[in-house]
Order: sequence, then C-alpha cells, then structure tokens
Amino acid sequence: MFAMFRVFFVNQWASFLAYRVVFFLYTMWAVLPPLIYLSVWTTIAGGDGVAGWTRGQFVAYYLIFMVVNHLTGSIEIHTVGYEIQNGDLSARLLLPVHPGLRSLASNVGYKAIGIFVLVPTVLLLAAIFRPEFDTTAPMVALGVVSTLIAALLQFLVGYSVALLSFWITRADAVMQLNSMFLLLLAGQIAPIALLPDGLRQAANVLPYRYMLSLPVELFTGTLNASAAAAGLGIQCLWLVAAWFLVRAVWRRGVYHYSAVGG
Amino acid sequence: MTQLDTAADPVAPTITMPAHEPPTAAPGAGGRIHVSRLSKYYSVHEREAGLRAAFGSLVRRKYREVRAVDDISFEVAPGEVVGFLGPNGAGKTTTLKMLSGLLHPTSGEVRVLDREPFARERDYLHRISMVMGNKGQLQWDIPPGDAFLVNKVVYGLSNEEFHSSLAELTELLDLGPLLKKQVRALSLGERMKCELAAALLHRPVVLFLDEPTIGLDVTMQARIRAFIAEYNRRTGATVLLTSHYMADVVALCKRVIVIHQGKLLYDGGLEALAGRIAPYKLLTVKLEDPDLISHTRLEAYGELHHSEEGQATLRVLRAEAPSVTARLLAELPVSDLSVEDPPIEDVIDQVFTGDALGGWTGRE
Repeated sequence: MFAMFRVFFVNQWASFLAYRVVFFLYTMWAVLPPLIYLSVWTTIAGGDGVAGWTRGQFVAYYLIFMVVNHLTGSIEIHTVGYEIQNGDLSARLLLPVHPGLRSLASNVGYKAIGIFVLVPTVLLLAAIFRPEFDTTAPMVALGVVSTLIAALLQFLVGYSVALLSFWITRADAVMQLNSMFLLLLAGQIAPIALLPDGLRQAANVLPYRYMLSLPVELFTGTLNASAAAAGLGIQCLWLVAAWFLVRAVWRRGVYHYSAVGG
Repeated sequence: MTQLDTAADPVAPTITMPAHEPPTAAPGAGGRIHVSRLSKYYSVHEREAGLRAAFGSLVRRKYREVRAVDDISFEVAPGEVVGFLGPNGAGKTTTLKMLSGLLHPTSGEVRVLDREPFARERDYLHRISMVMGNKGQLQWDIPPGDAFLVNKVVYGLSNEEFHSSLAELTELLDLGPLLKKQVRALSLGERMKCELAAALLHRPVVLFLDEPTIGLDVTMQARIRAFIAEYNRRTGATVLLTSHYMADVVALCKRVIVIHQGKLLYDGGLEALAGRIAPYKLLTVKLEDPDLISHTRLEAYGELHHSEEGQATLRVLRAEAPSVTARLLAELPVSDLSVEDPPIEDVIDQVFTGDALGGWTGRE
C-alpha cells in the first residue's frame, strides 16, 4: 500500500514538474486571497487594533492561514472530476488498486511541491509585515495534527464533490459553493472569533471551520486548552462523517458509471 | 460510444453455426469466458434541435431505451483469439466493457476466469487487461518508463518479473528509444505500443483489445498485429478484440463473432462467414473480341462488379452461378471464364458498412 502510494506520489511529482509556471500560479491561489484580507484587516486595525486584535496578530493569522490553506486545499474537482468526465476513470478502474489512492498521492504531491514556492513567499511577507503572536509548543503540535486532519477532511469532501461528476456534468459548481462557505465560515474573510454571534455559532458546528480555520487558530495560540480539545474532537467527528460520505458516494457513483457506460 | 436503436429495425435472426471447435489451449492457461443471454440496455435522453426543444426538455424529458447488447451468448476457450466484428455502434465495445468489469449487465450472465467481472475483485483484475484504442494508462506528461514502474508496483511484480517482462516487450515492440520520451511527444503508433506494453507487463491471462490499431498506419498496424499473435502464442492468453480493420481480424482470428445492433448474428470460423454473409460468386468473363465487352449488356447476367480491358467481373448469387455460367457460355463468344468466391476483405467490408446485415440471412 505504501509502495503504491509512493510510486503514485513520485509520478505525480514528475507530472507537476512538467508545468513549472502553471504550478507556481496555482500555489499563488493559496497566497493571494489571504493576502488581500491581510491588507484589509491590518488597515482597519491601524495602530490601536480592532476587537482586541493587534495589527501584528492579523499579520500572523493570515500568514499562517496561507500555509494551512495550501496544505489543506482540495484539488480533486480538477483531478478526479476531470477523469470521470472524460472517461479516463475507466483505465483507473481496470487496475487492481482503488483509484482514490492515486488521487490522495497526487493531492499530497501537489502540496509537497508547493511548499517550495510557499515558504519563501511567506518568509518574505513576514519580513515586510512583521507578524506578532504568542503561542506554546503544545498548541503548535496540536496545530500540526489538526492540519493533517483538516487536509484529509478537505480531501474526502473534495473527492465526494468531484464524484458528483458521475451524475452531473457541472460538479465544479457545487465545489464553488463549498469554496464560498470556506471563505465565510472557515476564517478567511475574517477570523472566526471576529464573526457576529450567529455566524460564529454556525461556524463552530458546520464542517468548514474544521477544514481550514481550526489549525490556524491552534498555531496562533488564540484558543485555550478546552476550546482546543473541543475543536479537535469535533474535527475528528467530521472526519469520520466525511469518510462514510465518500464511501457511500463512491459506491453509488461507480455503480451508476458502470450502468450508463463511461 | 454510439448506440443504435433496434426498436425500429426488423429483428435479424441469429444464425446457429455448426458447433465451433476451440483450439487446444496452451497448458496452464485458464482464460475461459462464458457469456449467457447477456443484455445491456441504456436509457438515453433525447430532444429535437433548437431552443424551444431545449426548454421543453427541462420540463418533460423523453427517454428512449437503447439496446446496446441484446441477448447474446457465447463461450471462449482458454487460449483462443476471437474477433468481434460489426459496424459502429453494434455493441462490440459494450460487450468488451461488460467482460472486463467496467459495465454491469442489464441481464444475463458473464463469467471470465470463473469470476463475475463486475465485482472487480483484485485477483480478477490482476489476471486481465484491457487496452482501449482511445484511452490509456499512460500519463501525458511523463515518460512511459515511469508509467511501467507504476504498474510494476500496482501489480506487485518482483524486480525479476518486471525486468524480464519489460525486456521481452521492449524487444518485441522495439520500445527502447521510447521509454524515456514524454508520452505527449510520442506518435499515435508509438503510444499504442507503449499502452500495449503497460497492459501486458503483468502477463494477463485474458486480454481485451478495443480497436487496438485505430488510427495507425498500415506498417504499424501490421506490427501490432504480429505482436498480439506472438503474445498469444507465447503465453497462451485468451484474446478478444474488436477492430475496424479487416486485416486485423483476418490476421489474428480464426473465429469471429459478428454483432449487429446488439444481436449476435454469427459465431464461427472466418471462412464460413464468407459463405453466409456473401452468398454470391464472382464470375470473370473474357470475350474473344475485347471491344465487345463494352457493347454487351452484361447486366442481364448479373450485377456488374467491375470491367477492364476486355474482361468483366459479375456478381452472381451463389445458387444461380451454374445457370448463369451456362448462359454466358451459350450466348457470348467467351474466351475465358472463371468462378471465384469473393475476397474475404469484401465480405468483412460488408459487415462493417452494415449493408449486408439487414437481409443477408435470407439469401442462402
């Protein structure tokens, strides 16, 4: 299993390397939107801060957000969704391995390679904007764990949405909807702590915070121990739910695919 | 994939052939295929052209049932090479997809290697391969050598198995110079050679080939064909192929299965097919005075197939051939006359164009 993952990973890496420029641009998608919100919030915060957040804290929040955004993002609508639509999935289904493994390897490969663009970019931005934050080693450790779970969660959700291509030709529209929720309820437009009460409560229940925002909150040390534990607990529950979702969608989708031809 | 609607067409009767004798299988080969009363129906949404119809279809959709494969049965013995013939949309690819497990049947039974293909069990997928002329395992941006390595791991091949397989395939298909090129830089024929190699690295016992030579030039077609025959000979694998090129079928298959509009029309030897599908003979007449050819109403004797310098070839129903021959000899100054079966190429060409299939069974 691991050998297969590795060979898919290497393959994907080689494939991505063939498109250096495109790849650089894709990685910028993880950087640019948070950069915009960073500029907006640092301007609002000015010298005095806003709602208890200083300018430097906003900078730290959004710089970490960029990294987590890249590490957790789902590309499955482009990879899996496309394979289903053009029928390439047929070739994958003929191999004695679940096509999902290749997709996961390709997801991880994409992220690993993006790091080389992302890290220098974030360091450069840090030198310019001077972040401030106060965190602890345990919180950073939890942040790493939470980033992994968030990445898996986004992968499973992205994969499920991509699988809708079995039935509808525009699954990317559903993915757009998902991105919209991620924008609003996953701490992108504003940190969740700064959302109005109603939205914040919704964000704490819905999966989007756990797909992106929670690791950032942990890394920046803005959560107390009980809030961190509760957050990770709910994140794990959503991960389990997403696992069942993707399995159910896969099973029905493949049955449908093989009923109508591909 | 295109499908034909069988509903509007008269149901063509199936011909039962004398029991087919499968060749003796290579030892150890277990690639048996059993297909019984297999059907695949699709429900297809259709609408008229135009905006009005487009809106109309939002409200009420018309569906039409398409019988891509309609109640076909056959057996394939281990080690056999069987060709599927039929015009576009006849149901050949659909049948192959059901055999490989990509499609599940609407009804009927399929067993390949004593497995139900649609279950796509690991050990089943380990023992089969399917090559589709228009879709493949290779990735566009990386060299085929990398894709082969993926297959090595996916099929769990040992280094030894992998290298001996690859060396053999490299030699047979002359892959050497291709292994390190990007797939996108390969020609169509080169890509197909690599696809075949990727599909055969794990030495499948059953091989499904869907239009393996489509779009290739004649030399490359011959190359691929020779390779498939060699693979079958060396490994005793069962090979089922569909093709548009009669040369593929003539070169590779002793046995053919003709499918038309989802129905199995013929299952048997290639030679016997000619007698069934082309129940006519070719009469070539030479007259004593060459100029006479153009002035004689040869149409009175049979359908004029072609004529050239003093001789003409007529197409005559098999049953009428003796009497037409007698009349020709009696009524014209014939200097030479020969009676021949039509070339197999013509016969298969008729199968592909579908011309012959509507009423051919009635003319025996």
